[in-house]
Amino acid sequence: MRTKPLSLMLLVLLLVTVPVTAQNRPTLQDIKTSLTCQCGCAMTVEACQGAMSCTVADKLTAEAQALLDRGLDKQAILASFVSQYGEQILSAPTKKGFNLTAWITPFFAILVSGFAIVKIVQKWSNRQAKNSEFSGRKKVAAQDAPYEKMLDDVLRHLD
Amino acid sequence: MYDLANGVLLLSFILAGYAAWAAFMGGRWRQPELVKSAERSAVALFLLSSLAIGILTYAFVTRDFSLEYVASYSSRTLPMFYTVSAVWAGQAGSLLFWVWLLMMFTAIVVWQNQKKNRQLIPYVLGTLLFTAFFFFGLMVYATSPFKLLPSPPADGNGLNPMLQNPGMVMHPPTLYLGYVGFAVPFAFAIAALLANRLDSQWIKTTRRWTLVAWLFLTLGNLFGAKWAYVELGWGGYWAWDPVENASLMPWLTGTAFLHSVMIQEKRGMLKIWNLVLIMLTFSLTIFGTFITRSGIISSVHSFGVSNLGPMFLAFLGLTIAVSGYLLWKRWPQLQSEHRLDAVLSRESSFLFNNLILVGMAFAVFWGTIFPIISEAVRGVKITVGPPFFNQINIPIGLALLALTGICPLIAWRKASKRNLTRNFTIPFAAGLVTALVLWLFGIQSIYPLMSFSLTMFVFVTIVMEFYRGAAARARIAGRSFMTALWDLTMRNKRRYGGYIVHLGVLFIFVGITGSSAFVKEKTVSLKKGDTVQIGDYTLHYQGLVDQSTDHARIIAAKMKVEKNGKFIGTLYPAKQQHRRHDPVSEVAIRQTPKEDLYLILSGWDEQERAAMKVLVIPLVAWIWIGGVVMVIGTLIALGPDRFKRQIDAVQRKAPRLQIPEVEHAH
Repeated sequence: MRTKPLSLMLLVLLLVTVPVTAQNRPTLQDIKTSLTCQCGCAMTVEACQGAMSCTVADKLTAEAQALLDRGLDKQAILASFVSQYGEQILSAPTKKGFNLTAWITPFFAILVSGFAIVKIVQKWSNRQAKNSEFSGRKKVAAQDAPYEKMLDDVLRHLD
Repeated sequence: MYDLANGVLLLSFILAGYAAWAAFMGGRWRQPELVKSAERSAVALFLLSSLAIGILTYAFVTRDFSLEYVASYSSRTLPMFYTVSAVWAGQAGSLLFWVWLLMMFTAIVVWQNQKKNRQLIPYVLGTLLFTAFFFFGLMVYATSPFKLLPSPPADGNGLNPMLQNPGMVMHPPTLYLGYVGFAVPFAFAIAALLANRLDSQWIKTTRRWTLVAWLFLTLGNLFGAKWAYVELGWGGYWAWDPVENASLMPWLTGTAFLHSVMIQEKRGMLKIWNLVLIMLTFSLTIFGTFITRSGIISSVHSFGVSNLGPMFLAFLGLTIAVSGYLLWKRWPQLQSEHRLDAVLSRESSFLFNNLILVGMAFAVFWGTIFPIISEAVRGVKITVGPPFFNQINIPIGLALLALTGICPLIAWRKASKRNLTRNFTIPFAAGLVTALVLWLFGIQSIYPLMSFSLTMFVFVTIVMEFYRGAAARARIAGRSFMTALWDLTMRNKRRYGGYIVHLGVLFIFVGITGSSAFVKEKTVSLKKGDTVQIGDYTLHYQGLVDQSTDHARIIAAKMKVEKNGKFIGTLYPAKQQHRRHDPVSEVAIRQTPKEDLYLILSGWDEQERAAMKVLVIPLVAWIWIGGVVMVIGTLIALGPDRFKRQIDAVQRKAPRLQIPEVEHAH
């Protein structure tokens, strides 16, 4: 049973980090969005080409078009750019090796924290229930019921 | 005159150091005279910084190019509107602007708290003045806006044409107002820890400050997005650039803070968490300033490489260290007055809302710094750009959207089955029906489908809240529904203003979803007389128009636009060629609530053949509409509540009476 939350967590991580759309034949825009312009603007080739008259973005676009014309798929085109310009040309880290931590860490942190919150709140509510049983507060609780209701009303209306 | 200005900066630096010391020591030694001296110094510092920024503005207006800063960012032909905005266009001027705003806020804090919060004020002032001391120090020792050139040029370099846009005039001041605004609640938090006043007083005092800072940060981000959309010319509004991320992160943690303080105010819980959130928010504003000014991460928005990085890093380190130490020291006194009763409760849902907001801030932070981590660990430079941030943040954003609907409707303490059924059946059904209808109309991608369905779910929860409240009020008070609706909102502005802000957020989600998932795009090369068809639009290219102004040559393509065969106007996408700067795009946009027709002229040749990118971007206008709605909601939430005033009056008369009369039944 202990492995259940862990498996769920891994499943969620897998789902959110795997691209949702299927890999069809790439368009020039796909490639340009996946590449960072090397002119120093830090934008994607797609964005840089629109924003400025950038000869570097034009050159990269022409190279991408040439590779597309040769019938290469997206992965092969990007690999070709990486071999020529280094990994920094990709606009997102690859999903392997150390780079995988970039993709997984945020979700892992959120899921672990969420799980911890649920466990802590459950523990608190169980402890409160036990305390009221031990101290024989059931009768008192019954007497307190109108006040409890009043408190709930006040909280609701004091938003 | 500039010797005087440099003297003013030096005097301000010394005075800020003294005033910070006087404030802290006045508080520690319980010496009211020292505190009074710090208060007077704070007001004097506001006047001195006003004088300094006045001198700089005067230098710009009179086009005095003997100042290096004025020569770098303006020219004789620059319109006066942009000449004034050039005051904050560069590194040194923006630092002066930052500190001027800080001193203005400090002076307001002094004025507001002459007779209240007297135990906190020494430490509040000490924190604000120490921050000012740091910023004045930067200008005195690292980068002064009043540096003279040995031989003044006849004309200045001019302002980067991309910055000559109303959006860019508004973007930095609103962003700085947000950044600096968060210094005030942070200072009160530090003061609460130092003075050991750990009740909710500091939160109540700074509620409006937090809202105002948040409002300006929201506006700053939206103005930046609008500027990118109309000026950068790539058809987008958010590029996940490190500097953009730097302004988003404090917005996210600030939003989490705005929500979680409600739990402390109402139930005495999350005291440590609230302190952590405001410390985090302030630290992130400094981190953002560090990123923008250090040049450590390449960005299209940064001020370039400078020597300010280590100084900002040291200040950031000091902020985190002091905050952490104070938190650790007061840990035992910060225990909650109550515990959470159940996982399904309003308190827990706020915790999850906080988790998602802070988680998103962490995801953005992680992506922003990951290139540095990668280089340190693997020695390999990588880029983390839009595809990463989109893929990471879309699922987190959808979770946040769902919680926007759940949080306000779930019962406090413990949600019963009746509460869940009563509040969520209709919204859930509306979301489900929306999903089905969209699926049948061909929208089958998972994220847009989820986004629109959740938006409908949240929209219905908000409408139901207004409807139920107003209907009950109309029934009890015997008024018309619309009068009751107005009355309801005005009686509890905080609550209903908050709902209106949520409505604005929904519009923004609609805009982001439409403009991200359903864009139509064509890249074309047109000769005179050619036609291009995209969506319902037919565009006729009628040749180039060549215009020259004092400072630029503008080449525009004349495009006659028809929609469904009917002429609707002429658009002129253009390129501006400036004498001193690289050419920039001037996009042509036809905006409607349904979609934007967006034209970018990429290039042309001697035969008037034009290379052009044409986009139809659906629903993008809803981002700006949502922004306006968010501003309206925040302004309503900022107003005093009639309902709360009545409660306060009752409590003043009978201090032991804690339960107010319920105004309307749901």
